[in-house]
Amino acid sequence: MSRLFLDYNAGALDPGGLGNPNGLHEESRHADILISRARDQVANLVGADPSEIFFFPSASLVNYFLITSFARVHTSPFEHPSVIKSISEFDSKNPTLVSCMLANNETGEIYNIEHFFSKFPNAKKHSDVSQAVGKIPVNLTAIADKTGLDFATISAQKIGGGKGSAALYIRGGKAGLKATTALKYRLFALGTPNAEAIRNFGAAADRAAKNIKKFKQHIRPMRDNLRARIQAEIPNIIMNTPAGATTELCSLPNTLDVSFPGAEGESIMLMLDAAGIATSTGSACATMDGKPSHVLMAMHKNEPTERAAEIAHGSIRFSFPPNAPPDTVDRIMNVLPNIIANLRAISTEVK
Amino acid sequence: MSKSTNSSNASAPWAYSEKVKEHFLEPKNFLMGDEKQFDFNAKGTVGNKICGDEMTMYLKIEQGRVVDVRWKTYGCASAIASTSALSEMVKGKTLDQALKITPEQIADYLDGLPERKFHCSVLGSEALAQAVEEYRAPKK
Repeated sequence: MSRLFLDYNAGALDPGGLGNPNGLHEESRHADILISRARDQVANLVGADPSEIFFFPSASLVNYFLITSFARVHTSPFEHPSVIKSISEFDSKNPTLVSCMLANNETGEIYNIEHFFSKFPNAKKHSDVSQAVGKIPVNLTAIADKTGLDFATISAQKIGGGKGSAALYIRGGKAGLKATTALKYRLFALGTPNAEAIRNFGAAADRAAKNIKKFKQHIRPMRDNLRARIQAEIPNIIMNTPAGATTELCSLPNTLDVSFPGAEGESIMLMLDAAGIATSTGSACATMDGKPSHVLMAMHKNEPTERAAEIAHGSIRFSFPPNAPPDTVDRIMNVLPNIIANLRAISTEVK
Repeated sequence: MSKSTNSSNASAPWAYSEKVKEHFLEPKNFLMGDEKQFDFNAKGTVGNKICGDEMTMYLKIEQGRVVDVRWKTYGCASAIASTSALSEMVKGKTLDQALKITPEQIADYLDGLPERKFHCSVLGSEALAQAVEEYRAPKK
């Protein structure tokens, strides 16, 4: 006989038959078990204990909840807007929280967070690791032991887990949360956990382990080849993604951000789009706030403002998925040199 | 290529109109390379690289009428499309008629621009006004 579901006021069953995870009956327990498994999967991916993983509806919300729980905050100039815009008082002298991302979303640069944190022994320490997780191995326990990290932001969306889930890592789990009263008392506002989204996050965490290998073995050589070909085939370019003898340690394997001064980023991006290639740009013309990328402006702050702005306006970010086809670089380079040459030829700046 | 909307290549609608797309992907009357290639007697430049838009209008004026026009633009798709549209609109007009072209008319010609891109069409008419002003100035 089919079960009678008479806990409708706790929440209608999800299409998949899941109940409100906070209940005690079978439908609820089923949802709770899924969440618990996902917590193990995510913890496994980031090298944390499952008790240290707290699910949120989005990574931006993780950052907002965490940052706004501290009175005085200091960050790197390269942080995601969800970090920067959540700060009410910037304080680089005596902050209560310092925040430095592990890898940058635009340039793919990997930062030395240990060095950044070491100047603030008295502050709590947060790192948004959402761009690094799933692309390079990340072990939060090891990072915490080495750098004093207290909190980290992990995104489901960035590892193919779909929208609607993210996680806050709190070192020491509930004990760590207790020490952060302002955050602790606000978590109720997150409401009922989204069991379906969290299950997808967990499944994606399992797949991500395989992707890390793909990124290293297949994508990184492709990215390096794109870098070399752009350098060889297009004049007057600026690489915003750092390279070095130890590329693996200084940038994500899948990211290449390049500026083409004299051509504007939105135009380049839409020309590539018309040719069937989706990319993004740090140009002001493509942002909602009408300002060029703060990451690129900060990176090139020693240049005159006009030059830094032109570099930011002319930037294109190529970020490869783990399954990018083998002819990706050829397809880009079949069209990119002409696009840049044409835009430069009609630009007010005569080359 | 610009107007094709064949279903096998169905793509998400642009934030820009088809008309903007057309003028961006196949711009009209642009000046490629050195400005010496075009015989002009009026020129106006507005915008700056910090904002991310800069455009120059080159006019060939005969007997108070714009007989030919070229332009150069550094900027986004709507800046390129706006200058291209303006160059089509201004051809054959008297200087007084040309000066009456408003940013709204440029945007209308392009079947509208997203609100945050409207300033691109303002820049076009400013460049035109500056070219005409420069042309008229020495004669006073």
